[in-house]
Amino acid sequence: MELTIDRLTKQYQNKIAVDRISLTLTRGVYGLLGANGAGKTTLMRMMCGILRPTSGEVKFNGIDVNHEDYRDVLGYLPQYFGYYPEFTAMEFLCYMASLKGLPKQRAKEKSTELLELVSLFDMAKRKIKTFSGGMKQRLGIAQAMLNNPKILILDEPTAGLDPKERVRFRNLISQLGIDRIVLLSTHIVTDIENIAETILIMKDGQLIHKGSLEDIIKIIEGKVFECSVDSKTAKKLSNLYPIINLREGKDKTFIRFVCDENPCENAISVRATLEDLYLYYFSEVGENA
Amino acid sequence: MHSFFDIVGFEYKKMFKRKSTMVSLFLLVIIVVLFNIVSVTSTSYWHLTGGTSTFEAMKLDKEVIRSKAGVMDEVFIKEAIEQNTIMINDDENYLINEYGRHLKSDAYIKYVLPYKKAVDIINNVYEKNTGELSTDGFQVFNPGRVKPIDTLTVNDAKSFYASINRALVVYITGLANLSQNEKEKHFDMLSEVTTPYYNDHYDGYLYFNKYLEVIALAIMIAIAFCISPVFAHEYYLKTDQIILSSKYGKSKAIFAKLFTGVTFSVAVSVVVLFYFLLSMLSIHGINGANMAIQTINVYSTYPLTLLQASLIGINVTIFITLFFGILTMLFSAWLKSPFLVITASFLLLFAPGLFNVSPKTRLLYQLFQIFPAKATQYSNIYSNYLFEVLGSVYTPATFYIVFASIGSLLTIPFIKYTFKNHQIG
Repeated sequence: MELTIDRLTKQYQNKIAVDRISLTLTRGVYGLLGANGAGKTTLMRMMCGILRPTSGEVKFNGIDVNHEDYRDVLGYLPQYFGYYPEFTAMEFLCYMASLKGLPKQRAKEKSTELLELVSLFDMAKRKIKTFSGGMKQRLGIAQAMLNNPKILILDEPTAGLDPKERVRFRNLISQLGIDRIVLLSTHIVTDIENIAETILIMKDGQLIHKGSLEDIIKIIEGKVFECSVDSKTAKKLSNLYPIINLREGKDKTFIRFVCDENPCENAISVRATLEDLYLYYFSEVGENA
Repeated sequence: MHSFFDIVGFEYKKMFKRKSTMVSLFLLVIIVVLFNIVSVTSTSYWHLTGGTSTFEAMKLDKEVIRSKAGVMDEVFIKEAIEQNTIMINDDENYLINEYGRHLKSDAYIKYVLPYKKAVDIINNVYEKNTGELSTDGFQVFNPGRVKPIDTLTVNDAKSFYASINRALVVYITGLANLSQNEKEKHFDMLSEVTTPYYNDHYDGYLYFNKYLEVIALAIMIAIAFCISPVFAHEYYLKTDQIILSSKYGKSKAIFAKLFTGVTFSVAVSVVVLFYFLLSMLSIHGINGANMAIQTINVYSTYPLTLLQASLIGINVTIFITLFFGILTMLFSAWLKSPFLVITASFLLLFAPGLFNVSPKTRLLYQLFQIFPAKATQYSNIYSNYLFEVLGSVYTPATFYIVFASIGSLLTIPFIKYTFKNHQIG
C-alpha cells in the first residue's frame, strides 16, 4: 500500500500554492500542519482528484488519481463539507454510498453502522438542516468512511467538535490508521500530536519538515524558554522572538518563547512541544507585543 | 446498473425535496386548469342569453353544430348556401335600424351555425377583399357586412373544393418569400389533402392548439425551475467536492443527473400535454378528430386531421422541451449559480420574443423560429415557411424534432465534460 506524490505543483496566476511536493505515504496516520494559505487544502484537493495540478502526479499502488479505481479506495472529508439540508442523515449516507458503488442493502447496513460509530444513530431520520455544526462534521466523517477507504483524507476534521467528541474522533482515527493511509490536516496541534505517527509541516506551498513527533521537535529542543519578567522586558522579548505564551501577572509577566540562546538570566529551558514548533514557524515576531 | 438507478432515485429525491420544484409543478397545474376555464369563459356563445349559463350555452351551440356532423360534400355545401340565401332574404331575421341590418342570434343559430365551418371556409376562399382574410392564424367571423356566401348560388357548391384548391395555389404562388422548392413542397402536400372535409364540432382541438404555446411555455418555465439546480446546486451547496471524489462521481453520477433531467422534462411534458388535450376534449367534446386542419385555417396545405395536428404539436413540444431541459442542464453545469442558470434559461425563452424579424430575411427569421417559445407555437409548427436544408425541404415540425434531437445529443457531452472537469478551488 503506497501513495506516491511526485513533484506535485499547483500554480495560480501570481502564486504557487503547492510547490513541487514529493512524498510517499504508507499505512499510518499523517498529520499535516501549516498556517492558513500554506497550501494544505490545495494539496489535499489534488490528492483527491478534484483539482488538476499544474504538474506532477499522484498515484496509489500505481493507479493514477484520475482513475475510477483510485476514487474507489478514497475517502474524503473536505474542509467546508457540503450536504443536502432536506435529506435525513440516513438518506444522505445511502446516497453517498450509491456514489461509492455500494449495493442498496449494503449501503443501508454500512450507513447504520457508521451512524452508530459517530453517535448519530438516534438522529438517522432527522433532516440534516436541523443538525448542529458538530453533528454535521460527524456525518461528514461517516460519509468519508462508507467505502472502507484505503486512503482517508480529512481536511480539518475536528473543526466544530466539542472536546469529548474530539477525543472519540482521535481514537477512531488511530484505529483506522492501522490498515490504511490517513492524512489529516488541522489547526488543533494537540490532535496531531496525539494521533499522527508522521507529521508533515507545510509553509508557502512547500513541505518543510516530515518526521515523527520526536524527530520534528528535536529542531527546537533546547530553544524553548519560560520566564517571568517585568512588562518592559516582556515587550522587548516579544519584539525579538516568536512568543508561544504570554500571561500578565500582578507584578510580572509570564512568557514562553523560542530562541536559539538563553536571552536573559532568569529564563529556563523547558521541554518543547509541537505547538512550540508550530508557533516557531508560523507566528510573526512581534505580533504579541 | 443497479447503482445507476439508485443514484437516479436519489437525484429525483433531491429534486422533489426542493420547494421550488413543488411550487413550480403546482403553478403549472394551476395554469393548465386556468386555461381550461378560460377556453370556456372567453368564448362568446350564440345561445348565451340572460338565463343560460356559459357552460349550458356552449353545450347548446355544440348540439346545433353536431346536428350536421358528417361529410362536407356537395349536398352539405348546397344546403349551407341555400340556408344562407333563405336567411338573407327574410328581413325577419334581422334587426333593422338607422345603423343597418343586424342579424338576430336566433337566425344565426338556425341558418348559419350548423354549417359554420363551411360558411367560414367559403367566406375566406371567395373573399375578394384580401384585408378581410385571416391568413396564418385563427379566422374571425365578421357578421356586419355582405359576405362572399351571400353572393353564391347552389350551383357554386359543385366547385367548392376546386375553389379552395385554386385559392390555395394562388395564395402559395403569391408568397414572395417562399423558394421554388418550398412552393413545390406545398403543392405536394396540398395534393395529399383528403377531400371532402368532415364537418363536426371541433372546439376541443381548436382550443388545445390555440393554447398549446402558452402551456408549452409554462412547462418550460417549470422545467427551468426544477432542473436548473441539478448541477448548480452541487456547486452552491459545496457537495461537488464529495461527489467528484467518489467512485462514480465523474461517470455514473453525471449520467444519472442527465437521465433525471431528461426523464423529468419528458415526463412533465407528456403528462401535462396529454392532460391538457384530454381535459380540453372532455370539456368541449371529443368530436372533430377527423376534421381537416383546413377547417381551422383554410390556407394551410398540410394534409392532416385535427387529431394528427394535435399529436404532432405534442410531439414537437416534447422534443423542444427536452432540448430546452438539456440546455438548462448545460447552463447549470457551466454557470454554477442557480440564479444565473434561471436567468440564462429565461433569456433563451423570452429574448427572441422581443425581436420582430420579417420573413424577408429568411435565415434570421428561421433562426428565431427555432427558439423554444417560438417553435411550440401552432402558427409556426404549421407555418407556410418551411425549412430548406441541403436542397431538401422539411416541414417545421420535422425540422424542429430533428433539430432538437441532434441538438440534445450534441449538448450532452459538453455537460458531462463541464461537470467532470470542474475544479474545486
